[in-house]
Amino acid sequence: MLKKVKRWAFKRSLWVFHVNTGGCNGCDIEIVDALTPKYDLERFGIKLAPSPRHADVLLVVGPVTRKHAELLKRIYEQTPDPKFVVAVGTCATSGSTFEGAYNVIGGVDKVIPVDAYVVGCPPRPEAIIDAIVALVNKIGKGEVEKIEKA
Amino acid sequence: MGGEQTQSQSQASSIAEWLKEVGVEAEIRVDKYNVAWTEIPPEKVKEAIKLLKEKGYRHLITISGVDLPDEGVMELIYHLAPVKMDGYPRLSLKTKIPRDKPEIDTITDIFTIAIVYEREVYDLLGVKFIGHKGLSRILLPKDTPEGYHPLRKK
Amino acid sequence: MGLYIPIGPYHPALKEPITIRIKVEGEKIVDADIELGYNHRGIEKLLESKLWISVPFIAEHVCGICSGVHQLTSIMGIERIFDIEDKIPERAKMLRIVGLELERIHSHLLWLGVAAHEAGFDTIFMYSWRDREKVLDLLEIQGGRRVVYSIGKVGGVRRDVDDKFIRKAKETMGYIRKQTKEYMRIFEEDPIVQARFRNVSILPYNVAIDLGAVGPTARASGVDYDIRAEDKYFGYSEEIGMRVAVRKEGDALAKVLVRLDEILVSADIIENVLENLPSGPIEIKVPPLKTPSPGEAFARSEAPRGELAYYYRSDGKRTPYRVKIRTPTLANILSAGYMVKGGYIADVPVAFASIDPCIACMERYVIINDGKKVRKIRWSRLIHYANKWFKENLHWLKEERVY
Repeated sequence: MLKKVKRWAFKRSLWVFHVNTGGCNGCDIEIVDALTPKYDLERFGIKLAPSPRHADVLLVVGPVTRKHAELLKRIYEQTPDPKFVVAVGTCATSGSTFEGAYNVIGGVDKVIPVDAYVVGCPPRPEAIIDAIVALVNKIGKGEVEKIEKA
Repeated sequence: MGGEQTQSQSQASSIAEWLKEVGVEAEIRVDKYNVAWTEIPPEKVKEAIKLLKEKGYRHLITISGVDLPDEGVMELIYHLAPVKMDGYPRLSLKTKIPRDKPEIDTITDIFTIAIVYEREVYDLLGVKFIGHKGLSRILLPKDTPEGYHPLRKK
Repeated sequence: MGLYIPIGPYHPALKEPITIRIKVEGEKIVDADIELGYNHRGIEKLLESKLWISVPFIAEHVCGICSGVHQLTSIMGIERIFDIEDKIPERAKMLRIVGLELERIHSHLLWLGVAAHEAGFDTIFMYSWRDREKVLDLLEIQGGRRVVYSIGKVGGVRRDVDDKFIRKAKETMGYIRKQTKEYMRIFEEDPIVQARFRNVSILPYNVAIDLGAVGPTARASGVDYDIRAEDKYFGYSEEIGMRVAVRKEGDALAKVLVRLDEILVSADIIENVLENLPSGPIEIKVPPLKTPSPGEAFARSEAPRGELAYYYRSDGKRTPYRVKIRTPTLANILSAGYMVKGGYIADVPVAFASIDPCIACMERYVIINDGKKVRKIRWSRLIHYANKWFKENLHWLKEERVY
């Protein structure tokens, strides 16, 4: 058990899967931007996963439209444990200006559990990287319950 | 300023003349942004649009629906634009249909893109386009309950 | 002319949300249907409960890539409803044009990278997005933020620009021009790029007109129609360098070249406008705009993806009675379905990307029905499949696709 935790904590590369639940693409392009040479997410050992089954972290964007809610749940279930959900953007956090719109659920945490929120409309690539790195550090320091309990 | 006014007035009268050809007496108002507004009866809409397209209004921008419960009607606005017709105004062709039976003939045989726009108006307002070969929801999930049309006013 | 009717589900048990359904014979696509609704948030209804003055700040979040044109077109409509359009100062109008053209450049470079990535050319993706950063720097100075820069306001623009900005913009435009010409060269000369783009997803002129295609998608098929040239809103004119970019071939390559050409036109416009920027206020001082008189207004503009239209209805209240927004991707959706047909499955990423769809691009699925079996594949896997297929079949495809 301890070995598993250590293995995870010292994992050199973190696989991130990007999900858009009906956002305006603003957050999407800042996430993609984080991969480009100017910000270069890869130097932190963070890589884009090709599917949820390979992911450690779900980066979820968008206020969650009704059509996406089921899909989001399914993606969450397909992601193996231990997994983390980062809600990127104000829409993913609370629905932002779209809260109350008839086709919007209004926030990722209304559908799946969220571990970290990056607020911003959209948040800058630096903020997104910051959040993921902070999450990784917390895991490394043993400050995240679900890893310690695993 | 006076010259432009006459030009838009003469264009407005051309449009009025064309509508007369399909048996419609319509008043055309051209606003200062070169958009013409007019209202015709729903049974004449298809013929009018067919003729307008032949005359050069070959671009259907979109179809807007407005719910007017106080008047007991729904208003449909066909937004048309002229192609290569120097200075002619964009045309917003309006018509009113009864709110308790909102139906009108499709124009998908004149403007293929109307397939998409009519579905949108059906989805959000519940207007039935007679003759549309695939009238179904396009934006809301397919399992949305029948009769739920969010853009209707309470 | 056949009707491109949305085809019903092939497999009734498949209740998953899907975006593109294609029917194939072997590797060739014989029918296609595109489903929307993922990003439908209910904005039109939402706006009925917001103050007129708030509308542009919500409109700019309809699309994060072309937030500027959404905001400014919504503002155009509101200024017509409140009947203040003819009072907007010249300097404000010109600054709006600068913001809109900077947006067009960033959007086209973004698209170039995405389209290149979908065809497996990741180097072009990295280069074009790096170039795009320089344009975002300018937008950040002008608007205050790099995405959703919020340049406009009802009555003018929010911020002014200074000489430093003008110098930096000129420098950036010189750089962008150089890079764009290089991209044009790559697309016109590299044989592997040609195999993926030339003669792929052709949209003939007549079909483009019949299906109501707009924007670069239509202009790549010879349709000489650009709202900036038609309506000359905000002061677009030939004098400031406005020129309509048109190509005849109608294939994916033409769509790339039209957009690259438009970047050059935008660079010209930005330089001309900043060279001759009129002095004066950047906004009109108006009393708080609360309630317009009852009426209606229509506004349209040329967004990077094509014609964008806003319709407003006022009943004299503080909130709009009705707001209708028609985005360019909706106008191009039937054309996208057409273009995918007759091609190979491996062409789908490029064919669909060539309309520059403003749909959330990450969770798309493609349903493939080959007459015997129906399978569902995720977009990223489709790209992977396509790139592999092209590597294996390039030897005979090169003859088929390249002159």
